[in-house]
Amino acid sequence: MITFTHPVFLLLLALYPPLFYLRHFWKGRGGRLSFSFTIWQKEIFRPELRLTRFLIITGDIAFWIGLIALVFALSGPELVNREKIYLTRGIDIMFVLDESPSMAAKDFVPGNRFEAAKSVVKEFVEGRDHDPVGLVTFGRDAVLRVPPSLDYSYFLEQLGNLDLLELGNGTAIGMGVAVASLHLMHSSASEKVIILLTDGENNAGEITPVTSAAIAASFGIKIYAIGIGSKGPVPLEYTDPETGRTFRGVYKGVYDRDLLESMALETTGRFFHASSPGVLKNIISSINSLERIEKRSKTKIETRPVHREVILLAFVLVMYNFLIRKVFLNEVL
Amino acid sequence: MIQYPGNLWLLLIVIPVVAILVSNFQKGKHDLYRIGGEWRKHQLYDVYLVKGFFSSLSFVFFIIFTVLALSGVSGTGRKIIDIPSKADIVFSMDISRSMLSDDILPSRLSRSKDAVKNIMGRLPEERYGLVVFKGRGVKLAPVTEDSEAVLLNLLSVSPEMFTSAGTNLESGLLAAASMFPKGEERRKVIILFSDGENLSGNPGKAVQFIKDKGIEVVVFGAGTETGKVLRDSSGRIVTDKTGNEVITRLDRSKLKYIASSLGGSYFEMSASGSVSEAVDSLALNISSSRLVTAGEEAYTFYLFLAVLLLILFVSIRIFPWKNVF
Amino acid sequence: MNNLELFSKIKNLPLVSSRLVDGFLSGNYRSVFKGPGLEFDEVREYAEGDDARFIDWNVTSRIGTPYTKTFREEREIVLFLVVDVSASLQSGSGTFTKQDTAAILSSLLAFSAVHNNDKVGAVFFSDRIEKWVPPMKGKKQVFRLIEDMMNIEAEGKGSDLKMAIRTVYESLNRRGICIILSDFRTPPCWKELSLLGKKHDLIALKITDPSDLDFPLSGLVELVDPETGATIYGSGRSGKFRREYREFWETNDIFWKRECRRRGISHLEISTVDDPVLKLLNFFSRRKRR
Repeated sequence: MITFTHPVFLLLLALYPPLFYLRHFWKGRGGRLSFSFTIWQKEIFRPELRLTRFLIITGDIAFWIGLIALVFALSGPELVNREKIYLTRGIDIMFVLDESPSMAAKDFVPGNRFEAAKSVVKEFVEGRDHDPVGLVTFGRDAVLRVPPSLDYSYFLEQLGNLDLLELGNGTAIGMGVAVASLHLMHSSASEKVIILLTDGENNAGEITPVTSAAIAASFGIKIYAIGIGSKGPVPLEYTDPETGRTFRGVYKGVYDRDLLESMALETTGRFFHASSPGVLKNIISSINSLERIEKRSKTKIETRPVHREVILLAFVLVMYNFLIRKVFLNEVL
Repeated sequence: MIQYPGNLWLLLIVIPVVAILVSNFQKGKHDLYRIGGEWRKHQLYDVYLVKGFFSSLSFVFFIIFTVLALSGVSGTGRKIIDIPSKADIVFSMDISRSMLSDDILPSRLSRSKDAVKNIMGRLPEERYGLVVFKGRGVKLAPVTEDSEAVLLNLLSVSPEMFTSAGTNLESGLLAAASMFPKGEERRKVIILFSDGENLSGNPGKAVQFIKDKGIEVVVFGAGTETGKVLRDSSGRIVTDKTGNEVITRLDRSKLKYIASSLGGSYFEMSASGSVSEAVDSLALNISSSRLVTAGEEAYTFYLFLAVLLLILFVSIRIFPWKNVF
Repeated sequence: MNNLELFSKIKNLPLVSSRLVDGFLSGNYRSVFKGPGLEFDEVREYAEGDDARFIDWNVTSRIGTPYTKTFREEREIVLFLVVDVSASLQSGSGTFTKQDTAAILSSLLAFSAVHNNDKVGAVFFSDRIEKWVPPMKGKKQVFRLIEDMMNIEAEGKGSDLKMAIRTVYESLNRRGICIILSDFRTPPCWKELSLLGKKHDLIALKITDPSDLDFPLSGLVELVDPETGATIYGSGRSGKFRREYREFWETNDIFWKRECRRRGISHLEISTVDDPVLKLLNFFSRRKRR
């Protein structure tokens, strides 16, 4: 957006239409030499000087734009940049996502549980505003993918790159939560949240889920535990990233509901059961609305004067006209 | 006071312009007689002289006043700029192979990593991000409060991280500059580590971007100017086509130039205490207001004159003096 | 060229004119111009070489020796000048404008006529009749004409030759000599010219200038036509422009000459840089030979 510090100078623009008329259309204007080149009431000699005409017209256009630009420059044009500045610290939100093979179960149509989880996380993050988000995934081991950060594009890029089984065959829920907790430990946020998405029983890792929940609780971190999966055996298909072999089978396991409930309880969070993509979506959106804190912000107005650029432009345009007329075309008058 | 004295060189344009005007006047005089006819020579010349003189004069002074306006002559307006106390700091690290050279022990890269740790240790309150670059820039850690994550990523930094030819400083700077989160009043600082060798890419584009965003830059030069032979991953000395050993050395002048064009400062890793010096130079944790000179009113006067002169220039042409032209 | 200079030039004209009259008009004025017609003079004895057609058989049979009729042209021929004073004549690249040249030529012709004791009249026209000077005799009349020519300030800008010719055609009843002095940058009026040519001895005198064919070498100039106010960019250094300009006027000129020839109108081109006396002399001696 552009504002002017001395808009009064813009009034000079009112001079231009009459000046333009006088310069280019007035019958009695000067700058022309009287020279007979017509046969009265019969024929007017009209040479076809395309290049000359083109040069003159571009020169004239440049000149008048330059003249207008000079007035704009005189009025003190400033580029205004409004930036919303948050005065309060947002909530730190860590997603802890299960990458075990069971997440490949195809009961979450279309695709599988993992894809469904990824898409709801994506939706969640896109709906947040100035809350740092981070990502931890776990299989047999747990790894921090993204530290809590406001760089949502980076987060989404990393989320998109996730693949099943990158961290081995296993479900180290405890490790996942512990890693997330550790990276939230030093956070200055007033509220810290872990959103755990899993579909299996903890079967790997040195830290048990219960212990990890206790760690989280000790740092004042809230855990929202979401159990994914419908009841009963489901078909499953995944590709091992190491061997490249595709596995097909039927998965019968279910997540440890009691465990997840207790983890949520321990950290004053909540447990949800997501039996279908639709339910998962609802859960995520309800967490989204639960975890809101009031944000105070101000608008920072930054102005950058741009008159020098405009003057330079005008100068170049006027000089172009000068060059065209006086140098290229050797104008006499 | 002149804000942009360099622009005054533009005044030199007046010389060719006057030359053109004078020669055109001479040539034009005869042209005019030829077209207008000898019979009204004197009448033509009178008008030609008067109109030519005044329109040339107004045009030349138009140029002079426009250039004066452009160089921001005079004016002592001052503006207060608040500097936030907190900062986001992004480390941008050159991971070309030459960074493995051990002309500074244990190696340029290790020393750079140490410097990062050192800085993070000295300024624990700030948020950090990490970018590495070779032929392209790659984000390793977004700007985060989570220092552990940055340090964790720092461990894995090595020339083998990815393959990409060249050392493109521009992409390293642009990747870093794009990482600063919006919506916060924090200083934005890029700390660059490089040996300045074989830099490709034109930092010019990044310079404007960085300046526009108000990003501060600190450049660390890694290595020595005497340099050392370059070894490949298996430890063999790299030789060029003619069998000469390739010696990698710090290109100090290039890095210094980049630092100054970005309005930043340059430090050398080999100098003792350079890290603390750099940290001090940033003067973080000190919320302050800075007075900057802003000659915004100054140009209006000259530009107003320039506009009037240009209007006069047009008007002289329009006015049919003595009914001649 | 200002009026003073022009006037001084014209002041010398009686002298020039008498030479002119001595050179080609003395005694032969009548045969240069066809004149209004033949008038029976007398009958004299036939001499060898006389046209046998004119033998008066009545007298011959009565007297017995061959007698022949002699004729003379009717006295008092009217020389009428149709002078274009439109704005396009206010031009010329040299020291004389086309109008100056027209004035000099008119004066010359007027002096010649008066010298032969003929009547001189004139009409000055632009897109209207600017002034009508009825035919009269005497030196005074010539000076009056010259004065009119010098002081005329044309009110109209265009050049309506058609209207001028019609007026002349309707106003002059007796056969006379009609000379049109114009740049012929006028709408075509060949029908009117032919008609006038049948009634009077008509000479179309086109006043030209070197810049009519060759646009002067020059830089870019915005040109305004004095008659129509049309504007073009003249670019004398552009070969294309000069070529187009030449083609345009050459075509126009060729067409003019062809039409004149076709319609039997005597025509003459005199440039502003020519010596008007010499040109006139040449023209008349050529015409006499015919």
